[in-house]
Order: sequence, then C-alpha cells, then structure tokens
Amino acid sequence: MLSARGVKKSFPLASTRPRLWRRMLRSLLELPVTVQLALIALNIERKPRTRGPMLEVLHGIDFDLREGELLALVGSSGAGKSTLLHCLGLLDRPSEGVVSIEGRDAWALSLDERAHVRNRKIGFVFQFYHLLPELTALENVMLPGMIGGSRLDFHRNGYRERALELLERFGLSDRIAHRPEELSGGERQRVAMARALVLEPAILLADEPTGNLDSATAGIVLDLLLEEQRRRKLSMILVTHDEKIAHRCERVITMKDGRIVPSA
Amino acid sequence: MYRSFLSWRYLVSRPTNLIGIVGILVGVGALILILSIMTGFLEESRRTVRGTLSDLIVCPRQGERSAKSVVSDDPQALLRALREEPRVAAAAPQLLWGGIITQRGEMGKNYERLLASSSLSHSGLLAIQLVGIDVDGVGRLAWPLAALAARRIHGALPRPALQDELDASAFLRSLVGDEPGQDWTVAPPNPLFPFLPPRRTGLGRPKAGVLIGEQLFSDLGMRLGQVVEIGTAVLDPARDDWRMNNREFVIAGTFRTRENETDTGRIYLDRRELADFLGQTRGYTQVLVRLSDYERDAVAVSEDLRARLSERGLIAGGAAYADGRLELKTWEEFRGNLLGAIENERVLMGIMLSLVLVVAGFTIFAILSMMVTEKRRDIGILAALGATPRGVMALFLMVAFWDALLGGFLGAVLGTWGALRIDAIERWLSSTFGIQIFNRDVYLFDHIPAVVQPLWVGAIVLGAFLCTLRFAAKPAIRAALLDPLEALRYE
Repeated sequence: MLSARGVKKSFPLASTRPRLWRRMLRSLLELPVTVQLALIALNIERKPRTRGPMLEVLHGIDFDLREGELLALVGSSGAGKSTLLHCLGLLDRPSEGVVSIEGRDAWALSLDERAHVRNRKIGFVFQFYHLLPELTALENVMLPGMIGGSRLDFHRNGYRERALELLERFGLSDRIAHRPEELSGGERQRVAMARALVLEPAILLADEPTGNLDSATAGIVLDLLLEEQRRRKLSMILVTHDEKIAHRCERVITMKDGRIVPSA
Repeated sequence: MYRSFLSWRYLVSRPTNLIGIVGILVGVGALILILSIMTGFLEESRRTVRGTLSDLIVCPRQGERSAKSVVSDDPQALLRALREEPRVAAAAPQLLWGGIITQRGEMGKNYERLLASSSLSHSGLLAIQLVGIDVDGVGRLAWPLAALAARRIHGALPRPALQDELDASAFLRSLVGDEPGQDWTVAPPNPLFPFLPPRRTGLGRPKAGVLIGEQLFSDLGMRLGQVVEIGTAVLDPARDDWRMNNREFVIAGTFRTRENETDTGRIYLDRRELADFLGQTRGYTQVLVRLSDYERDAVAVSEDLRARLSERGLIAGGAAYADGRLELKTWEEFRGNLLGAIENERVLMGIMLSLVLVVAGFTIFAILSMMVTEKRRDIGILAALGATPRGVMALFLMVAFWDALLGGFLGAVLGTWGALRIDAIERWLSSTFGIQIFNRDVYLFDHIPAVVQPLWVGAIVLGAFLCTLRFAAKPAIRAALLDPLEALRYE
C-alpha cells in the first residue's frame, strides 16, 4: 500500500493520469473500487497560527466523503471540527496534507482556480448565516451566481429563476425583498441554505447550521436541509455537537483533540 | 457582475460616501471655474494688449552707431527695407511724444472748473500721449473714385497696396472697422478727416485736426470742432535745453476702445504735423509692421529682419542678435512681462486648486479604509462564495470609481455652468451681500471673461479619477489580502 508521502509525490499524476491517481488514493484509504468519492482528505495537519484567531490544531486526518453521502462530524467544542471543515472547504490552508476534490489536489490550484471551486463545487452553510446586510434575501441567494460569471452568464443560466424557486420551496416567497435585519433567525438560515444550493454544488458543508436557532426552528431548518440533501443526492458534511442530529446521518465521524476517533 | 452591483449598493447605502463625492465635486468644479476665468483673463488681456500694437514693432536706436554708419532719424530707408520682405504686408512709421492739455483754448474759464471736477488730473495738468501717424488720405479717397471710373471702362480695378497706419496698425484698423469682431468705434465715421491738410479757422496758421479718446472728450465736456491747446517740451539743440511749445488743434473726431487708459490718455494726429510741433527734432519713434500671417511667420520674420536691418545699418543692432532684439520685437515680446505674469498666475492657481483634489483623495482614502474595516465579514463571505482577492480589490476600487464618476461629472457640470454664467453670479452675489466682487473700473474690460476649454475640462475630470483611484488603491489592496477565515470571524 502506498504511504501518504508516496501519494503526495505522485501529485503530477493527478492531472496526467487522474484515474491512476484516484486508484492510488483509494488503495491508501482501503476503499473498494466501486465507491465514488466526492472528496478525499489525506494526512491533514494544521499547526497553530502565529497570528490571527486561535484555531484548533489537526493531527494526521485521513478522511473521505462518498458521493451522495450525508456525513456527520461530531465532537466536543475545540475538537477541531470547524477547522477541518474550513480546510476541506478551501478556506484555510492545512500545514500538511492533501485535499482532493473531483480528483484534483485543491490546494495545489491557483488562487483563481480555488475560488472557482469554492463558487461552483462547494456550498457553505454557516452557524451565523453570514448574509450580506445591504442585499435583500433574493439578492443574497443570487450572489454566488453573480460572483461566478459575467452578466450574460448570469442571465443565460437563469440564476434569478433558480433563486426564486429555492426561496419559494423554503417558504420565503413573500420575503424575497426583505433585508436580513428584517428576517427571523430561521428565515435567515433558510436564505443561507438557498444561497448554498443555488449553483447546485457537488459538496455541501454545514457548520452547526442550527446552532443559533431555537429548538422548534432548528427542527424545521434541519428537516429542510436533509430533505434537500436527499433530493439532490448531495455529498454533505454536517458538523454538529448534537448527537441526535448526528444519528440522522448515514455515517458519523467523531473527533477529539484534533484527531479522528477510530470507530469501534 | 457582482463588483459593479455590490459597489453601487455599498455607495448608496452609506451616507458617508457623500462626503467623498462632494469633495471631488468641489475640487473639480473649482478648478474648472478658476481656470476658465484665468484663461478668459489671459485671452481678453491678449486681445486688449494686442489691440494697441502691431505684429512687429521696430524701434531703432536713432543716433547710435550701426554696422555701416549712424542710425538715421528718417524712416524712409527703414520702410523700404521692411517693405521688401515678401512676408510683410505693410509698414508705417509712428511718432510718439508726451504732452499736456493746457488751460487756454476755447474751453477758457470752464476748463479749470471741468478739470477740478474731473478724475483725470490731480495736479491741474492733463498728461496725454501724442501719437503721430501717416495716413495716405489722398490715396484712400482717390481710389474708390478711380475704381468706380475704371469699372465702367476696364472692369474691376485692384485695390492699391497702401502702406500707411491704417494698414500697419491692427489697432487703428480695428477702429475703422476693418477688423471683424471688434466693438471699438470712431466718430464721426471718417477717420481720414483729421489727416487732411489743416483747415483754416481764422487768422494765422491753419489748425490741424486731432482724434481724441471719447472718455477724455466727454469728461472735459468737449465738442467736435472745438479748439484745444496742447503743450509739450521740445529739446532746443541751439541752447541744448528744453523749452515749452504750445499749439492749438481742432477736435476732428473721437475714438472709443473701452480701455480707460487709451480712451483718456491718447490723441492721434498727423505725423508730419506732430514733427513740426516738435520743431523737426524727431521724425519718427517706431515703425509698425503687419505680417501676412503672424502665427506662421512671426518668429522667422523677426529673426530675418533683425539680421538684415542690422547688416544694412538701419538698426544699431550688433554682431549678436541679442542686441537687435531690443530694437525689433513681436507684440508678444513687447508685452511679454504682462502676458507672462497672467500665465504664471494661471499656472499657480491651477497648482493650488489641484491640492483640493489631493485633499479629496485623502478623504476617499479615509472613507474606504473605514469601509474595508466595517466590511470585513462581507469580504470573508464573498471569499467563501468564490470571490477572488483580485475581485475583492476591484470591488472597493469600483466604490471609488463611482465616487469619482459622480463627483467628477457633477463638478464638471457645475464648474462649466458657473464659468458660463459668472457675470450673472457675480452680480447676484454683489447685490445680495452688498459687496463689489468685480470692480469694472480696475480692469480693462467690463465683464468677467471666462473661456471654457473642453480639453481642460476632460483633463481635470481624468485627473480627479486618477487621483481618486490612486488613494483608493491601498485600502482596496488591504481588503484583497484579508484572510477569509479571519474576516468571517470578525465581530
């Protein structure tokens, strides 16, 4: 079996011989050939930052997300869940390791290519919604479409219509012209979900999506999220500290002190 | 797409951006207004100053040694040499001297009363400049009749190439209406009249006619045909001393140029009459030259003439042209100091007012820096959604772009409107606040001149753009370099 270092040295194969490279990764992770992978993380290390906000460290994380899988990432506060999510979502560069998305080493891409992957392939749902306050609900949902291309692309791909459809499905058709300050917490999170899904990403990363909501609203939002995941067969990682939410997922990975706790 | 959309949304949703726009508006508007007024002053001054001078002015240093002999006080040889140059259209001599209007003459006892009530004299004496000119009156009167006769027999008769004061002097030509676009006038509309042979008005020597400035004419309560006595100092070579000489002249006409100094201080008369008045001690002071194409030939012709006249001993000159420059000048060299002073003022004003744009730039820097700090979370969100660092930088530069566009456009409109309506604005301000902003007695023109040059307007707006974007660059780059994670966690 190939070592992590051996795999890393074979990175040029990712572009010249992508199938071979994926076989090598699968063999490292001991996965059968038939399993299609949306994301592979190999030997992820994250050392403490010398400046900026304090982040949890990660030690030697090997990780895979299968296509269409709903994966829960659980652990107590400070376990490194959010840090790992940010590394997988290409927001935070790991100190070591590989993140492969659709057979490409994402952290070896250029700035613009990585931005393109974040725009097209990855959807984010944050705990604190992170909506732009100057934009209406509809404009917030359309924003990924505006970022991803020109005005012509925007209209040709019908992003406005998609945004309207999503907002209607999430029960917000009468709130499209409202700004975030005029929406409730649950409504804001639904807008954030619609924004994450408008470009039909391959991977959805949700970091404590119900952590800032009351229990009733949290239940509604979670049901909506999981329903969308099932309907679209999205590959999704859901970070949560709530065991009940974790048990609704297909697979659960537990983290502790920056490491994955092996399953029993 | 998101850059223009979001930048415009940021612009309109934050009232502090208005400060930046107003700063640029004021800077651009003030620059356009002031530069338009200064350009107007410059052009008006050029026209005013130009109006009194011909294309070239030749003032030989009479009596001094030249390359061949002593420079003569007879202008004929100099005139011949000048008229030989094909690029010279006309040349005519002028005799300049100073004089005073004395108390005698027909004004008599009224003179002192009028003088006391007039603002023209503070010492009981009215100093004036006597300008003796040649006008080929016979030729000018005879030609129309000859042309009329010839047309009946031979067809059109070509106008003779006259070379007198009316051809050589742009000023006097404009007075008789040969120059288009001038509003100077002469009355009665026959300037040849003073320069016909002196008319007999009684016993004694016939009195010659003079053309007097209208301001002086009306201030002293004169009338056409009135006799006026003029006195002057003349050098007596026999005694090598100065003596006073008085003579009576007839007021044959008036002229009006709207220049106070000219209209109150100048009198035109026949050059030979003035030379006689001066006891034949001087024949001429200078020769006025008009070129066929001043703009094209002025520099070349003046250099050629300096060399040629110096070689022939018609000007004192010298081996070096530098000496000859004192004796032969273009009108711009003659008035170089005045025009140069106005041009310098314009440049200095432009530099000082450009500092307003720099201050506006600093304002933009401060506003954008604040915006980047306030929008840190937004920057993190945009990065998470796929915006590149370059895109984030462009977003904030576009905010500055909108500031510059709105401020520059509105400033250009207001500045241009202000320049075109400056007279009305000045009158309104003067009447509203009871202060005199533009003293028409001080200047040589009775309105505030302003010339809006589209090229300057474009350059100022472009300068405002570049200045704004330059000051916006640093905060925009700072936004681009923000760590998305750090930005998302910013509270």
